[in-house]
Amino acid sequence: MSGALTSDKTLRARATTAIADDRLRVALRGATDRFTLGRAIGLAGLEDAQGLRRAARAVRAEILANLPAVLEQLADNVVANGGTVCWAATAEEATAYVEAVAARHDARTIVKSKSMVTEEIKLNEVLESAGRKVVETDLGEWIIQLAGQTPSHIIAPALHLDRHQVAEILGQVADGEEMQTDPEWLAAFARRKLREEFLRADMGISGANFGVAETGSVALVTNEGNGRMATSLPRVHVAIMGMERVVATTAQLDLMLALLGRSASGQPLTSYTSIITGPRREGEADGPDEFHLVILDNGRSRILGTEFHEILACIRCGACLGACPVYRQIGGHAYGSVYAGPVGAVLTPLLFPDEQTRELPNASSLCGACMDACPVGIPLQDLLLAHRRRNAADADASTRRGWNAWARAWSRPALFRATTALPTFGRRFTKLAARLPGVSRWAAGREIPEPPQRTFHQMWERGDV
Amino acid sequence: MSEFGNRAEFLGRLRVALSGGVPENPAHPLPPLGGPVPEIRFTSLDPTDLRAAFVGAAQYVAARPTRMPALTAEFLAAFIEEEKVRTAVVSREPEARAAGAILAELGVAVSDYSREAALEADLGVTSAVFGVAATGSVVQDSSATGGRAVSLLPRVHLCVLPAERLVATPGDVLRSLGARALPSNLVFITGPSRSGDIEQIITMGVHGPTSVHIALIEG
Repeated sequence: MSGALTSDKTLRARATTAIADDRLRVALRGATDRFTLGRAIGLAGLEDAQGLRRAARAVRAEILANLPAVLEQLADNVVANGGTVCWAATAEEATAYVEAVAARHDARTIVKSKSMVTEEIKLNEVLESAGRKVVETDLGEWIIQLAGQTPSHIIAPALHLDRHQVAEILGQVADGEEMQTDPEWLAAFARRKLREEFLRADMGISGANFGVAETGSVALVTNEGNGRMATSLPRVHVAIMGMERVVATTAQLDLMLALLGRSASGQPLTSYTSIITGPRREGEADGPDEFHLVILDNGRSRILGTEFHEILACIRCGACLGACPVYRQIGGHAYGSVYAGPVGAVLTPLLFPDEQTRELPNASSLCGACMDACPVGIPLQDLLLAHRRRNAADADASTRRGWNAWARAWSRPALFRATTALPTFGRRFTKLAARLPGVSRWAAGREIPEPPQRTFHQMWERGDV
Repeated sequence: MSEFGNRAEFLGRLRVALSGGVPENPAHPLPPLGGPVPEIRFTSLDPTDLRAAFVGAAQYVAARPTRMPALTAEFLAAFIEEEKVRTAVVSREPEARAAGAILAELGVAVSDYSREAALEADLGVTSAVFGVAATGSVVQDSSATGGRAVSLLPRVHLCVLPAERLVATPGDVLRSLGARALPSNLVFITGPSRSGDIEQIITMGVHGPTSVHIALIEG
């Protein structure tokens, strides 16, 4: 069982469960249609959006090629601004550091702004096992935290729940108050309850949409304002950043922010785009006394410089999820990992290589819609194929022998003709063949075509075509 | 101590990984690297009339901009009536303090920003260091406001923005940042706090203000 997986079932089992859930599929279609439409409208607001995407791909590639120098500059500037930097090689090092900071401040309540990377390293579990209360403050994240679930979409974590389920889940913290199901009412309820947590909190934890090396800053975007609350009210702020989530200059930040909001939800800018540079200064009435930046490797350096290198260019907008015909059917939970959709199918097997994650690249039709949607032009289908190629190379000997025999047969005209004529000859047996062991599982999800009476070659020779 | 973990070892792993270069992708080769970062141009932005553009963009993100020659008691009286404001906190900025003085004359209980006062207040009053015409954003600098949460904790936010602080794009603000010392917190506020986390239905004010008013002062 990998550290990433949230379920021990197979991809096929998880997908089967998801597809059987009609409510989930309606919600998925509605949300992905909305994001896809928003993205189209958002990008139409930019002149030469395609040119900007190409430029963004080049910018991300350049940053990754110079990553050691860019990170060094970031760390130096964070320290110069009065912050603290932690270089965490593994999830364990990162969580141990955050727990040590929490212990030093005797942090009883910790508020969190939405962050995928903290889910990746299972930070909440570590802090909670030390007896601390950890509260997710993004509304969607809070709902699924109370429900004991995991996010089903990068930017819409509670996508899979309807208002009645949400009301029931939030009812756990209602203290006898009667719950209503109107989304406005539920949001106002969350405002009241979470505000109490913000005021009580000793420490705030956020991710980082981007580290900015030349200024030593962290850029954080949220629509709800929970990112601002978590980084303004508690006396300690810890930001956790995957090491690749960095830009060198503010000009690069401008380009990334222009594409991020539009690709995620269609917004020109998210409601709150904060650029945080060190702890509070003299004379400021709020803001944390301490600012910590955790720079996390956790398997990323194993990807750097390999054929999967470009997956590290990802800015976590979620556009590839909405574009993917597979994600649109099965949703995020079926991927069994914090990272879902095409990006997750590439990234998860690299971060958490094992027998269960290696099948994720099969959750793709290789249609390439993900690459067309990606704001930084990651060739996702090439990377999915690269995974499959590796899996094929590792396949068992009998599978390899079978495919090799097929390749040899079809490179000889006589054998090609003989094998393609076979189904026309044995037409009526096709349906029976679909029941054969090994074929039946493949055939279950597919329409078996009725073979024609003659092959194309035969028709050609008769002058029928 | 301001650095933990092993920087040399961490970066050493990266340098080794990158030492052989990056494999080419023949199917989708990378564009040439090292060019300048292109400026972002907005299709709908009329650079000759930033004020009108700002108002349109702010309305698009559900903020409430109003153009006026100067901030008047008439405007504020109508505003506090509509938003049912009885208490307010003001930032350190001169424009906010001036607005606070008028509000106090109108009977609003006005105090300087503190976290405790902001929690009780209906309204937070600030100015902004920039307004961004293309996105309808106002940009707040914590060293100017004196507190990050003036515009965050109260239910209503009023930003008094002199029109000469308008710039065309976020890039006009962002690209200048590397050249100067940054405040501890710089935030682009683009409309009210919003969430779509329950059934994708947009609700306002889940954490921050439900309503953001911008008085664009043109005099």
